[in-house]
Amino acid sequence: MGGNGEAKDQNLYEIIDHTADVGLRVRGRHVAEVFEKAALGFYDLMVSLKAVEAGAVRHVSVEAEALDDLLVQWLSELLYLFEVEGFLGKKVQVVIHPQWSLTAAVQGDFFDPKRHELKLLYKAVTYHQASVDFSDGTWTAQVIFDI
Amino acid sequence: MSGKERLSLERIDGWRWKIPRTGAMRTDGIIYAGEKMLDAIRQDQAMDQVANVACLPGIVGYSMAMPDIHWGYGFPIGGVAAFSMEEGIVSPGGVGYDINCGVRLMTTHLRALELGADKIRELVTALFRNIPSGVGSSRKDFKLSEAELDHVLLKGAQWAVSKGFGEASDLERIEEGGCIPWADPEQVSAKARERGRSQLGTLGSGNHFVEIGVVEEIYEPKTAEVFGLFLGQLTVFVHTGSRGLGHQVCDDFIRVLLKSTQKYGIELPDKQLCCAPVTSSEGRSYLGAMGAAANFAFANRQMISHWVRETFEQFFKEPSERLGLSLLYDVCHNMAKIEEHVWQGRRLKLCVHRKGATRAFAAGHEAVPDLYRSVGQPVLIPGDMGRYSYVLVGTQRAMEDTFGSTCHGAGRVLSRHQAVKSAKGRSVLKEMEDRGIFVLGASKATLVEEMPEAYKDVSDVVEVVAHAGISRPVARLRPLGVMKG
Repeated sequence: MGGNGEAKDQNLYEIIDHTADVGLRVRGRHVAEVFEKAALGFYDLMVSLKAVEAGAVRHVSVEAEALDDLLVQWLSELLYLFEVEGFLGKKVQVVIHPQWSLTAAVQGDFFDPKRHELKLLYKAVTYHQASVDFSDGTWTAQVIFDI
Repeated sequence: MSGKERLSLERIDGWRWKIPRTGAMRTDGIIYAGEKMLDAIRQDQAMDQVANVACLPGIVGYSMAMPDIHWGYGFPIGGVAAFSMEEGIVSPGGVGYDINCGVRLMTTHLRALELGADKIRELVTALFRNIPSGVGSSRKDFKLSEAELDHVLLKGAQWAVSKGFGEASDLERIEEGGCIPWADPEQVSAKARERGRSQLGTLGSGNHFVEIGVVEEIYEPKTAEVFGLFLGQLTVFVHTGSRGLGHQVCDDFIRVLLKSTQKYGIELPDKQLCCAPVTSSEGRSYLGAMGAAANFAFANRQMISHWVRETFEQFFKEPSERLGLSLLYDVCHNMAKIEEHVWQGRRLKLCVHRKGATRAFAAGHEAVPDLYRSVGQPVLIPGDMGRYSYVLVGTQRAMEDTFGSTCHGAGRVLSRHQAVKSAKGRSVLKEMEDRGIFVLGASKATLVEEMPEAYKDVSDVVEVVAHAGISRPVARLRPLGVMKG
């Protein structure tokens, strides 16, 4: 798919740029960290995180047969929360349980067109080139969204 | 093929290119394209995707791509492939996330010139007030109950008309009469229903739009007359799909079919091509859910065009019949359909996947409405918001070569990110106004991403399908006012 990574924020995520769609790549020392960064990147591409408050909390749990699948399901759950109640995350805490499930607490806010400028709206989180890998002491996760 | 096999591209003629069968491919790939499009197609890895689709079991004919081809998930956008009902498969990746995303064109008795730019601006503003777009917006006067959603999923545009959204005569001018008969609402998950319930009757965002245009060129006067088109006529395009409900159905079934791919021992070159035999329980469940999502999209476009009619009535203070606001046709872009086709002299029942492609049935086909049967099915091809759109007609050549299919639109050339970069320091809205096009959008970011130069020139795409004979140009339309989601 010929994506070329561009650093958006050295500490958070890189954008994977593509003709019709967009994705992100994150790195971290722990697997939970890349899941947290992926979620923050997911929200940051939609609206500027600066404008999001952290007053409300949502708890998420998902299960999957593989880590890449878990990543897709995790972000899909966040997309679902956005679509049905406009929930936007600001702070994310993830716990990953082996083979494989995830529980998370997401502190955030509800979409308000007066305060949040929507930059992007996802149709879905895709499995295409979705990956969670560990090498040389670093976890890397990437995912592509259908826009 | 994921880079395992080197693919070659052989010229068939100026408009068709063959990827000869190699490796796990069960048939050749055929790409419809002009010579100058080939570089972009090669770069995009869309060729690999055409070859990957050719590996799927039970494929009949070729794995094809229309000239608006670009990279998609699993199947390329612009992909067309037919599968045997007995040995073939159905794949959500061959339909896409936005199930039955499609476009409809309404015609009027009005002449665009008599309106002038100020009136167009007011009319677009009025449409923007009456048709919900952007995140979370919906009509205050419309709420859908859980029970009613089942009727939407079963009956599609027929449900909408029964509730007073539009006229019974609209239904014969919609592909499949606006209702997929095999739809099975029970296959639609609670999550998909939850995402969809508040989104029925909303435009959405991204490339979805309502566009007021004018007929500026007629290529085939007799066909144009049958379609009710005349030079200078004011027209309205509506482009939207099945919203969150369809996206969730696709998502749910990719998960289900990833498992059935293993169960049925199907080898996949790409996870997103996950599939199941058409006649398996998983395949039937997906088709039932896809049909229900398609019906949601048919109902969605029907409701929006009803509000277009209402807006025109309020604006011109005349009943819509006097304004001549009638539906020309409604086509689907992302669908898998069970159709009968003749292939190599045999009449076969097939599961035809069109992903970012349009059905283009020829004159005489029983699925073409009576009023158009003498000329063929109308094919509606929207371009970008700054240039032009086309009305084409289906041909016998399409029936023979592409299972009655053709292109669906322009296709992007710039990524959203590149579009944003290239728009820095410019006002896209002002540039559009200088071209005589008034644009109103729910999101500033969308307007920039959707600027004309982000897309291929749709004329190049239409030129290919016309030369290849799989549809014929009837008329060209120019946008005057655009409401973006």
